[in-house]
Amino acid sequence: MRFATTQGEMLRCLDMVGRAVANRDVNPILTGIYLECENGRLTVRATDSEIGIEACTSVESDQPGKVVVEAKYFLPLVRRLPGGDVFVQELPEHQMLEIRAGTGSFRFQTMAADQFPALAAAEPKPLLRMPSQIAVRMIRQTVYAAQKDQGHSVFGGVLMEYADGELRFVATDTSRLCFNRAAVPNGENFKMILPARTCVELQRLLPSNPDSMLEIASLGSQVLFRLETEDVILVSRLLEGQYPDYTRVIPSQTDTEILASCSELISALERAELMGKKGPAIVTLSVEEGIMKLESRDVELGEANESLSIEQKGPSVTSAFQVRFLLDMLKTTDSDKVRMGLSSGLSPGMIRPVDDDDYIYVLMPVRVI
Amino acid sequence: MSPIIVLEETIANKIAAGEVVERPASVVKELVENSLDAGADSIDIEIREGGKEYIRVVDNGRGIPSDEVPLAFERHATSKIRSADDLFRIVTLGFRGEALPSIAAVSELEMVTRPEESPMGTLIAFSGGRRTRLESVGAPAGTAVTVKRLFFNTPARYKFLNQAASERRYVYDIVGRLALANPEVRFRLVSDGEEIFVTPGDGNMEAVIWSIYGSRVGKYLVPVYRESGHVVISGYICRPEIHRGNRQAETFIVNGRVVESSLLASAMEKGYQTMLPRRRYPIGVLTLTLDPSKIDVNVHPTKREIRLSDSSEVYKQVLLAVKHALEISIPFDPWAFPGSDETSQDADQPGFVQETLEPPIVKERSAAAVSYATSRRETESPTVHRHSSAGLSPEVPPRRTLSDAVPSQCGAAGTSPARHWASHRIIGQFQATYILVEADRELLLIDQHVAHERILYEGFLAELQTSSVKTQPLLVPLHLELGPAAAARVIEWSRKLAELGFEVEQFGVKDCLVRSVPVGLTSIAVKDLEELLLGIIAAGETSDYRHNALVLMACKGAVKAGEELTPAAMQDLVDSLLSTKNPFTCPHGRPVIVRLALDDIHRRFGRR
Ligand SMILES: Nc1ncnc2c1ncn2[C@@H]1O[C@H](COP(=O)(O)OP(=O)(O)OP(=O)(O)O)[C@@H](O)[C@H]1O
Ligand SMILES: [Mg+2]
Repeated sequence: MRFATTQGEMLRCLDMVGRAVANRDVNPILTGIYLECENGRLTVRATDSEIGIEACTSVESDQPGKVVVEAKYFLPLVRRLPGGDVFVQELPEHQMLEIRAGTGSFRFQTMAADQFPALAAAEPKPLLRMPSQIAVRMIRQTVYAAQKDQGHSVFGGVLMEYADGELRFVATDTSRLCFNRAAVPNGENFKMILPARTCVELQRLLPSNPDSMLEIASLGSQVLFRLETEDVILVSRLLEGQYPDYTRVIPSQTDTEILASCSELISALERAELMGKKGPAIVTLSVEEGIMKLESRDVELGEANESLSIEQKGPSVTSAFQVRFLLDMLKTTDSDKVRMGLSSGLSPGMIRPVDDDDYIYVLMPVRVI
Repeated sequence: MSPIIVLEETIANKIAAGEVVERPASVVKELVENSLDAGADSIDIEIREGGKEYIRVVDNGRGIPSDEVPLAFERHATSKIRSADDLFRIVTLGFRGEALPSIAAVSELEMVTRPEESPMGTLIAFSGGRRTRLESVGAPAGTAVTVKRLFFNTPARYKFLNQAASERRYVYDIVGRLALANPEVRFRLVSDGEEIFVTPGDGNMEAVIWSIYGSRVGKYLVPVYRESGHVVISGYICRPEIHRGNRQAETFIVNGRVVESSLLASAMEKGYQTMLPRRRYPIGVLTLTLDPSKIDVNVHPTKREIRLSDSSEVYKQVLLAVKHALEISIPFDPWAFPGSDETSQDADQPGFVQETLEPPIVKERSAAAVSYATSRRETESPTVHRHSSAGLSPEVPPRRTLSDAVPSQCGAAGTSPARHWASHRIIGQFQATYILVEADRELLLIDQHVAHERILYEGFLAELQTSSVKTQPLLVPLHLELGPAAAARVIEWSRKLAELGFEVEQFGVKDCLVRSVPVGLTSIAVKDLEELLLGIIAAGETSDYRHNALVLMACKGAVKAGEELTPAAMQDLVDSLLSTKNPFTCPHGRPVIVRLALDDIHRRFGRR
């Protein structure tokens, strides 16, 4: 294998796949990065068997081939190389990979490339094709509601579903739920549960470039995302299990609807959040005559009280929530106002951005016994 | 408890007779001991005018069946011992059957009592020993005794009483000691309408010490534990930076009984070796457990003193327990060789001594006894003498927090955060398990899991104690597949679980649905929740199941070892830990913080 490219392009590919490198050496080969060169195309790949990422780029090459080098040292080296041309060649007799840049020349031991797993046997047919930006928004507005580090439970994942011409993302940790949708034409129906980590890694790969397109395909128990313009694919394991019926959870209406400034609400809640010394901070929202009072207290610390003026439709109402749950949602809205639906008793509350019916957040109030 | 019977003459005579009622404090002591014997786990004590005018003790114990109530006021009527042999195996605090009649004889006494299983309670009242009322009344389960106008019919003894202020101190002292001896019982003491202290009753002695002595003492506590032959010694002592001018704050509890003992006191003092200034006395609470046949409690009519048959051995063990606790407490020297245990040959061991020390409350009647109430507000100014390697920094004034401005909502020990160090800085995480912290001149290793457990435990406990358990109802109820037997058990426990914040209901015969969880456990995984509920239930219906439950809840809610934490998360965790009542041990009793002193590290590198 021999090819020439630039330090910048090489680093771009490596940075994309770097997060998929296995950090514990369950299987030593997986701590490596796979490089393959064929027909002027360099493929860089890493996988920890949960997710795998592959990035491609065009290079000048006169000798095809493939090698695996240890990611832990190779990646930092490329990052530290001076900008400009980089020449890479395999030295099969030494089982080394040589990298030359500027006046420097570096050699790394290689591992047996045949043993490195492929991500997908064959290129599956995409189920859906859409602008990357939609996925960026939808992930940002759901993934936080999934349970953290919960192994293989469906609550540690995000439901991704396509039906009726719309793509829907749903996440819940059982006490609150995020629902997000976007109209995307010309897809085939599907339903998959993505591990939260997969969403986070995908989000990281997705560019903000408005022309960039994303394809979703199924590999049976795995999902494949392809970033067309960037020439990157991500393959991930899916979570198995029955996702709860989210449509039953979203209330059709609430007693009282409030229109409030998002930024005012966020800063008031961030102050209220301090009243949680040994447990999560709780805020009681009391809405009466166009005023929303926020009250929180901590038995050992003290209390916080403030009032916001809001627009109110419906009767007075009081409900208590975990402050963090409210903030999680508010911080991901792009609107400057939110509509909040509250009901008395133990009915769930609902928050939506003012001008957007595609993002719905449902959360249960806290009860003090 | 067995029914009350009148002791035979012969047994009665074996019991040293004497004056039971000396002063209001002795009335309080007798009544509280009766409450403890009755299995109460919550005792409210209220006095007015130092107890001279009014004493009221309310408990939630077993109560007395109506037909036995009059008997309880007959001399030598007790439900606690049956025969002379029992005298050598006394496990209850009372055994003479003398207290109630003696008190009733010199006051206006009224008792309202109801065993839980009886529909009606009984009211009995005496005036100067004459019964004035006996009727059936509605009453809460438990016993309430009100004693008014003590010594009204014996003016000579009334005159002998001190000013209310000083009688009050005796009451504070005895209630404090009884609370220390019974950390699993919640004590609340009110004097002239002011709450003096409340203990949490969660079984944690350290928390009781904090409640009674306040944060100044609380944050200098060192745990003591020693087991040997037939004595087990445990408790807490205060580091030598804090001391007092008398022995009032040395408390000894032998087999559950608070005792006065100059033998034990001098053993404890000796354990401090040269660390205390002359004529200064340590603060500490030691619990000794030994074979009941090795002690004789029936030496003194007020049971204040005991006789030990193995006194020199006990002396030595107490001394060593204190000495070792102090040695390992602050300057943790991880490289030191463990010292030999048998170093006390040089210690002067008294032989068999009968304790005859006058209890301090008598001795100090005239002397300028330090007021309990004011010493609670920290009158002693600790000489912070810099310990070779302790690296103690001068105390920083407690930070002003919102709670200074807001009336305290905190029903339990109103303690301020422990500030052991003037400043601390997170260095990082080791093996995704320990947090390394630079704190003044020490390097701290903090176990992240147990640290978080401690924080959560205190949070859950505070909620439970202030009846403000916060529960998070679930949008998507969790479905537990338990199998018929376990599911039935969970449903049986549903009321107790609800108190803790778990709402469970039956779902088919084999399954349960969890509809809400405590807020601190929001987003718990199904598997963990299942283990948790079964764990809570497995402890059985002991009086202690709540403590066990809180420990398990804290454990499930806490970050795991091996979990990587962001710097902000570490900072949060350490800040919260240092503001807990006891940052040093987790609810299971495991250490949370290991401290390495700078000087020791220097020495290790040959710098000094
Ligand atoms: N608070 C109480 N709750 C339930 N039973 C009580 C209570 N107080 C007293 N009794 C019953 O009354 C009896 C008499 O109490 P009293 O204090 O006079 O004697 P004692 O506790 O048996 O012995 P002592 O004189 O050593 O205290 C007790 O044995 C007990 O059965
Ligand atoms: Mg008694």
